Amino acid sequence: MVSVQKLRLNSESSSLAEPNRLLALIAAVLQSLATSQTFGFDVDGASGSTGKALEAVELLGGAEARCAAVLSALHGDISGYVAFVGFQNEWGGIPILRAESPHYCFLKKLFQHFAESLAEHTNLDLNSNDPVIAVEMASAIISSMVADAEWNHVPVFSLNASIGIAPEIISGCILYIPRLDGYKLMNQILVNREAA
Amino acid sequence: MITGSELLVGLSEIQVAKGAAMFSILGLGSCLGIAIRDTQSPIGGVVHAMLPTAFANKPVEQAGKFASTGVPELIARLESEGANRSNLIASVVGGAQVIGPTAMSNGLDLGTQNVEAAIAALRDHGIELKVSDTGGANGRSMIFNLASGEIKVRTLSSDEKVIGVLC
Repeated sequence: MVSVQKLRLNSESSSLAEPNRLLALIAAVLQSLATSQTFGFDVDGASGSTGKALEAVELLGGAEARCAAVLSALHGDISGYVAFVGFQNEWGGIPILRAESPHYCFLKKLFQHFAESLAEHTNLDLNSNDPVIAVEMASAIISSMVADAEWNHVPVFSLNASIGIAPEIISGCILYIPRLDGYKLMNQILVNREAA
Repeated sequence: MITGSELLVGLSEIQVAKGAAMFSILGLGSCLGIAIRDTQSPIGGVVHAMLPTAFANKPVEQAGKFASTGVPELIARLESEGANRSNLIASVVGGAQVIGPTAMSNGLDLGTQNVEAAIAALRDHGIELKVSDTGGANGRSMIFNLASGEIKVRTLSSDEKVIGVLC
């Protein structure tokens, strides 16, 4: 496991302990996955705040920028979903981020590993569905996910990320949104581990 | 109160203007752009609502965050600027499901709940819903020309078009 100190953690929440505790785990899981991949994958700037997630809209090129979201539903004890949202740039006239592209296949594998790693760290059951792709305006995607999280009383965990090998690198962000019951369960497990 | 300006209405914001203002909300997904205008005088405003109804156990810090609180707050601000309640008409844009069914969804998707809450709030305050473009899977940008009353919408796949006029 790579130290989470490599990542800058950020949370605007008034109750910092819960999101930061889980954020550290998620950041560590993704950082360790990043270092084990041969396909280009970097993560940075982890956050557990709604405001930081919304700032991703500007990083993606502005509210109306054409973006792709590759989203995988997570099922099990700690269900929810994980997504990569990236600017939908094209290479040779073909969108890079599309079904069965190397980038999509990489993300599918990454999300499987993410679910497996999170399950392993918490001793809970978790697995991922094959991801779906939605192409939409950056703000439409990000604000919908943030709204979904707010409506369900959970934080949005986000990390700036880039995937691919030059010149087909896609910059964007990874968003993880757990369900409330799973979020509480994970926190309780981490609290108990700290106490032990 | 702002006059003669282009106004970008951010998430959970409410803005009111008089005269030649142009309101824009860029990249609506499940969120809503609710515009209300006085048909007899150039007073109008927009709320960019994110969620349907306020949470029972939490104070409302931003009325514009919720359709249920944003609509009455917008009406109150319009009335304080001289609008007449009986002359007000409204449009609702947005409420899409752009990211598909998720593991979070229980029953109705959030976009549909937002639209239903906005319609209920308008009905409760006696405001006619004259123009709407809601639901589906496409994100939308909404432009409201206060002087003419035109509501325009554009998406990634379609150019800007007038969907109705608040007058």
